[in-house]
Formats: sequence, structure tokens, C-alpha cells
Amino acid sequence: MFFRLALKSLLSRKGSVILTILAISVSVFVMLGVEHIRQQTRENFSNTVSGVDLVVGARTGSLNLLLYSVFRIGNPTNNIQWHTYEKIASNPKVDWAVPMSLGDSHKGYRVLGTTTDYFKHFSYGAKRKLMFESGKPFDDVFDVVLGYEVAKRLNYQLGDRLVLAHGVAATSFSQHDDNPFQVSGILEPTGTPVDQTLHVSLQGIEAIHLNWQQGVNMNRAGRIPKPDPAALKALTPESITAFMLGLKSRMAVFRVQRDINNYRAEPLMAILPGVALSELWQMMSVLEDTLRFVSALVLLAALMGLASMLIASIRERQPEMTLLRVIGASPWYLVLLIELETLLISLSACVLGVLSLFAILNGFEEVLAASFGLRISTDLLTLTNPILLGLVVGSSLLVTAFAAMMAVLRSRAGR
Amino acid sequence: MSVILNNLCFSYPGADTATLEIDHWQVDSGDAVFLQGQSGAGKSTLLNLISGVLSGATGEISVLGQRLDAMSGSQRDRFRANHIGYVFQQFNLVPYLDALDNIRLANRFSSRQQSPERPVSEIQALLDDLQLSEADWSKPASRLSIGQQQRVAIARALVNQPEVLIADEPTSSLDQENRDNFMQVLMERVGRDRITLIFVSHDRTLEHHFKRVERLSDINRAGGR
Repeated sequence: MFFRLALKSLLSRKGSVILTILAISVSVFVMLGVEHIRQQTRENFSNTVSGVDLVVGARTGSLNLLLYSVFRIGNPTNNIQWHTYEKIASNPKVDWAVPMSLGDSHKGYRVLGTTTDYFKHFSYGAKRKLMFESGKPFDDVFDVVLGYEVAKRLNYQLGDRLVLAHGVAATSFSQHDDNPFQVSGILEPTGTPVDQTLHVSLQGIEAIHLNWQQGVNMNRAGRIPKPDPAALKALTPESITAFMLGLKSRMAVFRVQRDINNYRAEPLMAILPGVALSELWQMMSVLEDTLRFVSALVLLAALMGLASMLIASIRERQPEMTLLRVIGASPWYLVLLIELETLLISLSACVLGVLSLFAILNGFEEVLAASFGLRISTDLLTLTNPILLGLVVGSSLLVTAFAAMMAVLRSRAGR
Repeated sequence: MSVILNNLCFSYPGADTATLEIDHWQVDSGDAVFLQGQSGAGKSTLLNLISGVLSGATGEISVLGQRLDAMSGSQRDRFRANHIGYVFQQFNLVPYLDALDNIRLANRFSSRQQSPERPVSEIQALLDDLQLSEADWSKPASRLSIGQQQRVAIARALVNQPEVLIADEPTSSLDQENRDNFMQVLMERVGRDRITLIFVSHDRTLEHHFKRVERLSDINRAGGR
């Protein structure tokens, strides 16, 4: 009878109850959404690179190395000699090594010179490998593989030709226009800086810089004949910007790191990308705190809405409360009745909010990844979500308790 | 003796003057008393004190030989559910429950303590007796006419077989025809079950239904609020 009374009471006020449920579920939706995106951003961020044990570059700050090698932000302080790379890559503890050569760009997107091993070994997220949306890795010296965003924003198709620019500025006055590249492959979206990168072979990078001195193309003078393609394929770089290492055993990470940091012939530095990433994330904690603050405000707004609805409805139900008291209901009975109604409202609002968030995340997963580079998992079963939902239900019960006490006190004072 | 008041004095919190001051007043078992008073004379206050909804008065309030003024809040709630029926001018029923559920709810509150729950058939018989047609039993109370609501209210007040029935202006919102009908049904039930009735109204045309008629202004020295 108790439950039936609460249910019938709610049903008799369908309109306002449904509005309240909608209002709270929207808040729950926004709150969980913001919180989920916060966690996912963090996760995405710390998974920008995975499966790489060490990143090695010229000696600098660890963040700087991380920024230019992984995020393609900023500039390297110095290059590494090619024979140094070969020496470290041949270390028996090293499983694989992928060289990286940076410094050129195309319409503001950075160009990465590397080997085809990059597509084999680089992974992001939960050890996800790079996948080709179309085409294949570069094969010819003048082949280029585009990140998803580059291809989409600049509207490139397989087989299109494009010209790289010297330097990393968005507008460059020195173009490598005597050696255009052909698109051989386009990668799937990853939600990492890979999407904004053009990948070419190390030989390609060397070839376009042949006969350049101090950033000026000497070929222009027409003094030097073009080398033949076979010779281009055999080019070996003198230096590279950085390289990634995968070790045979992760146990050896610190050992190899120390060896590299103590390398005599050249000042080198090796970082663990995971550690550097979390250091970088900590610097961005302002962003995280802001998102948290937004979640908190949304929750507060939702609770205030709930409170005002409850207080209004209780005022409206004063005669009913007095009546129940007169026919023998104890004050506790009334409080529990109102609490049960609130519980039903807030629980159904939570269910509705979670379900719609789930539906929207599922429905827009691909859209988010493609247009914002956001890889959001649809897994809502994190530890914080039940806590947040509990907070919504708990505080609505608390707010109601005050309103209910008020109603009971009034019903005591007669009509 | 059903109701005894001795040296009763009550004032609302924050009020300067007392609302009620009654030296002595009593109602015998089985009596039907018509208590007449203008609005604002303290009628509802007196009834709320006798039913134990309101507390905080000084002096003695005894109902059925028990001191209400000595009881705790929950004791008074239980006592009221078991022994006192109450009919108001309006808002007698939970609007979203049907007639049957309204009566069953009142029954539930008392049966948890004492008498066993009454079977639905008995409640139906009671409604039948109060001239409420079967088609209206399962309508939400808010969809019944005022006259029907007041008759369901009698059934609700009587379902726990109370010894005392308190009626606070129960006919004020009824038209002439419904009023006569209500009074007839009420007096018949009260007379048959020998229930003590305290009937409060400003309407002196109802006096002829009662043997004992009193003016609140005669017994209340404070003169209401």
C-alpha cells in the first residue's frame, strides 16, 4: 500500500513529475558526459603513444623531446648522427628501432620522415596499430602517407601530388616544388597527432634536400643535374631528429635508458613516453579542473531544480499531508512517503540520463573520432560514475528530507 | 464519559492572546453534540486538540478515559487512528486514490496496531450503505462529486469503528439536497453504532438533528482568535 500510494501520487502529478525527471536526467547526462569526456581525454592523451619503450633524441628537456617527437610541437634542439642511431639500434636488448626525421611541413601539417617499420611498430591507445583507410605504406622515394585529418581537411585522394615546404611555418617561401610527392596511402583516424602528420621515407627527406645549402635550393641555379632514381633509393641520411625504441624485455628499460643518457660520442637523452606524458598532463591540470568545475556546477543546478520542484509540490500537497496525519499516519510515514517518491524520480532520471548518454556515445562514436579526433569509449562503467549517480540520488534525498520535515511540521500546526 | 476538558488553555505560538480557554466541558458516550460557532471562534482549534493533531495546550484533555495531553506524538497518532474518526469540510480524501483505496488506507493505519484489517467486502458494504454506487468505487476521489466525496469521507472515518466521530463543518461545501442527504446518512450510522459525535458548524439550520446544542462562545472564555 505504501509503494502503491507513492506511485499513484506520482502518477497523479504526471506532468510536473515527467518534467522534473527530464530536467534531472539532462543534468545527469551533462554531468556524466563531461566527466566521461574528461577521463577519456586524459586516457587518450596518455595513450597518444603506446608500445614504445623509449624515445631518444638530442639532449634537451624531457617535455621538449616528447613534444616534438610525439606531438610534433616545437622544434628539436639538435639532430642525432645516423651512425649513433645504427649503433644503438644494433644493441642486443633492442627489438626494433624506428628513426624519425622532422623539419618539413605541408600547409602547416608536419612531415615525418621515417621507415616503413613505423607503421609496423607504432601503436596508440590500448596497443592499437595504425591502420590504412586506403592505399599502402610508402614504397617509392616520393611516396607520402597522409594522416586522416590531413587527407580530409586538404581533400587529398590516393594518387594526388603535393609539394612539401621547407621548414615548419604554415606559409613557407621555400617549397620543394621540384620534387612533388604522390599520395600512396591514407591512415584511419586515431585521435592522436598521427592524424595531422604526413609520413614519407627517410630517403624522400634526403632527396628533397639534395643540394640545399642553408635553406636555399641550389638546384634552382640549374648547375647540378638531377640524380637518377636508383641513386635516390640508396640515400642514407647523415642525421635524424629522434628515434623510437622497442625493447625485447621491458625489464631492460631503465638499463638501456641509462646507457643512452651516458652515451659518450654524442649528448643523447632517452625518455619513457608514458612517464613524460603524465608529466605533461599534470601541467594541463587546469583544463581538467575546469571540466570538473563545470561538472560540479551542472550537478548543483540539477539539485536546485529538484529542490524547488519538491518544495513547490509539497506546498501544493499540504492538505493531503494533513489528511494523512489525521487518519493516523505518523510523521515518519509522511517523510518516508515523500522520500520514496523522490527516490523513484531520481532513480528514473539517472537511468534515463545514463541510457541516453550511452545511446549518444554509441551513435556518435565514429562522428566524434572523425571530426574531432576524439576516441571516446562507450564504456560507462567506471568507478566514478556510480559515485556521481549516488551523489545525485543521495543529495536529492537529503534536499527532500528538509522539504518533507517542513511539510510534516506544518501538518502538525493544524490546517 | 467520552470527552472531558478541564482548565484547557491554548494559544498559537507567537500569539499574544489565548485562542481557547475552557474551564470545563464534557461529552457523554453516545451523545451527539452540535457545537455552533462563527468562523474564527476557535472551532477547528478545539477539534484538533481533541483529536490530538494539535498539541501544546495546558490543562486536561481526556478522550475515552485517556489523557491525550500526557501522550507522546506517536501515541496520539495511534490513538487517533484507532478511536477517532474525522470528517472535514473538504480535502477528506487522498485525491489520486479511489474510494476503496482511501478507506483501506485509513484502515491500514489502525489495523497495524490493533484490529485486523477489514475485508474488502465489508468496506464495499459500508459504501453501499452510504449510497455510493458501485461504479464510483474505483474512480479517483478527485473525480467524485463533492456530495459523494463527503459520503466516502464518512465511510473512511467509520472504517476503524471509532468510538468518537468528529465532524468539522462537513456540510459547508454541499448544496441543500446533498446536505440533507449527508445529515441523514450520518445520523443514521452514528445512532446505530452508538458513536459519540461532535459536530461543528456555523450553520444553525442543522440544529434540529441534535438533542444537545451548544455555542462555542458560551464555553470558550477566550473568544477565539
